[in-house]
Amino acid sequence: MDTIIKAENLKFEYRNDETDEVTEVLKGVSIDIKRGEFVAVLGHNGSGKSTFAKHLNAILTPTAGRVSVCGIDTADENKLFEIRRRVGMVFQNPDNQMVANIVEDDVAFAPENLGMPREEIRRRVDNALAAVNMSAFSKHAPHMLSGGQKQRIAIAGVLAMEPEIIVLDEPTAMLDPAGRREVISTVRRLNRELKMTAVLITHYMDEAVSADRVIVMDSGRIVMDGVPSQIFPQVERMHSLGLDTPQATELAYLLKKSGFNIDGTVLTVDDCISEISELWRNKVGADD
Amino acid sequence: MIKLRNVSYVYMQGGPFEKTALDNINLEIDRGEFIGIIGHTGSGKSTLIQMLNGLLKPSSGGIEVAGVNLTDKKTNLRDVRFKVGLVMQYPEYQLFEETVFKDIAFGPKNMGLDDDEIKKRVEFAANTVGLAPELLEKSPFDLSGGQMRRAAIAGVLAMEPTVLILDEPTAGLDPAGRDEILYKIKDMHERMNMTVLLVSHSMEDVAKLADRILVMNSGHVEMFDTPERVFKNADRLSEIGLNVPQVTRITDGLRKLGMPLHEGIYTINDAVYCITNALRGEGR
Repeated sequence: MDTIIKAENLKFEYRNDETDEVTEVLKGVSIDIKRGEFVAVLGHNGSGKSTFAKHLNAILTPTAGRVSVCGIDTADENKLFEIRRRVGMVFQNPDNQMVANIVEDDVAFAPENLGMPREEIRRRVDNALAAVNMSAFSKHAPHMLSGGQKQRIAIAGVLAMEPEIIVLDEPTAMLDPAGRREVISTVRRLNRELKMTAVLITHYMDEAVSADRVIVMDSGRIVMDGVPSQIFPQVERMHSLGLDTPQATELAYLLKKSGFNIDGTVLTVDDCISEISELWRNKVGADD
Repeated sequence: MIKLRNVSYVYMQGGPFEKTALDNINLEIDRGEFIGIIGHTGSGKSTLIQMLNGLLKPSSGGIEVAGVNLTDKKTNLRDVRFKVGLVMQYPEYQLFEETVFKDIAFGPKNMGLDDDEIKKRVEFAANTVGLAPELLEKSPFDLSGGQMRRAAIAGVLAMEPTVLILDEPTAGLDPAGRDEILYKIKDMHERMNMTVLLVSHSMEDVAKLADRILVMNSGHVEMFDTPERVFKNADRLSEIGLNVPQVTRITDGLRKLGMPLHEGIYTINDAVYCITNALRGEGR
């Protein structure tokens, strides 16, 4: 697979105009993300993860170092539109992302702005709504939808640009459990079926479990990078970074610590059940 | 402490978009209880809590909070708002003063307290939420997101309400920040014998803290019981757009496979304890 996002020693700082204090938010981030990868980015508030995400579609550009997406240097101002078209962003609050009174108009906003022909806009809007399972709502008013539905419309709005990368910055922070499930399964489907590269920033560890790769940031640096089953079993390390692990992983970890022979790398409810039930079967077998 | 009798609330009554947000709610909450409120978006949670400090008036029914009848026209709602502190979602967007101190002092000042008392309360509230004293003279807009959230909560605490209501106080915070704020709230609840109502989308958080859980669904009270009894109903909770903590799903799954675990296990510690006992116990 080829590299679609590349950051080389990316640094970002800003200066407070009043105090002249310089804050270094990113202190040298280097990473390669491959086309089609689903990457979750974790880190406590202030770790630099949102700042990193904003570099992926040139909302911010590096103070030093370099970021390229789809082979384009994000610091190249002439390519700004090109970058924004290829990298779609979804933010936390769905209400701030709605611009129209009807769902399909909202989704059509970006292609209309790109000056596309009518038929092409129609095709893209229909495809985008189908991809997030919201076709039935095309004529609805966005403000009457649930939080999860609104976020799926926001995702459809991004898809209508037919981007190669979708970046989601805490898209489920304001949603109820059902809304969270809808949004995450939508992202996973886009990644699996349309092979879209996805970068998901989240505080929910159970969401990161479904990613191919997990990156953990701390004080402006990447401190962990691996598949979920390498990252989450490091329960104490995660806690020291101000993060959590899924309850399934923590339960297995604590049982292992109390001396049971259990695989400490379980991530999901089902894996955890099958590990513990095996211990149980062994015990019952031994008792008989 | 809180009593609701046949309370209903209808938005845009008589209009084409008429919507019943709350339908004949009856509730009683005792002094000093810690109540978790869960429910899908649109289930009526926010309407309910806005009624408890008089921001919304019920279309019908009666509400009594801290001995005050909110539905009586003669009641001065201003006094009620000092007794019932409401921390709304994303309260940091409501910070507005020049300094953190002034922002936290806004409530007590409006209560007509003298300067010494105000200073005492601001310092106490800031300390309670874990804001360092040197931050008090800063502009609230120079604080980090987590600090702003705490300053906003401190502003409500400084009024020393008898009932504290928080609408998703940890949304958007990282796990460590979330645990810290929840721990502070629990600590306050215990030290000041405050009645606390916490609205949350996180079943894990509610499970950790609440004495009782109020489950709202389509404007009705679906359940109102201890976490153990509420989380026994995993299937029903999932039907109404909610879920149970992961540990509950794990222990439920294990019980179905024959392990002797009781229903409604909802904390990791309890799960470890029960599973360890089962695996080390004398057969079945």
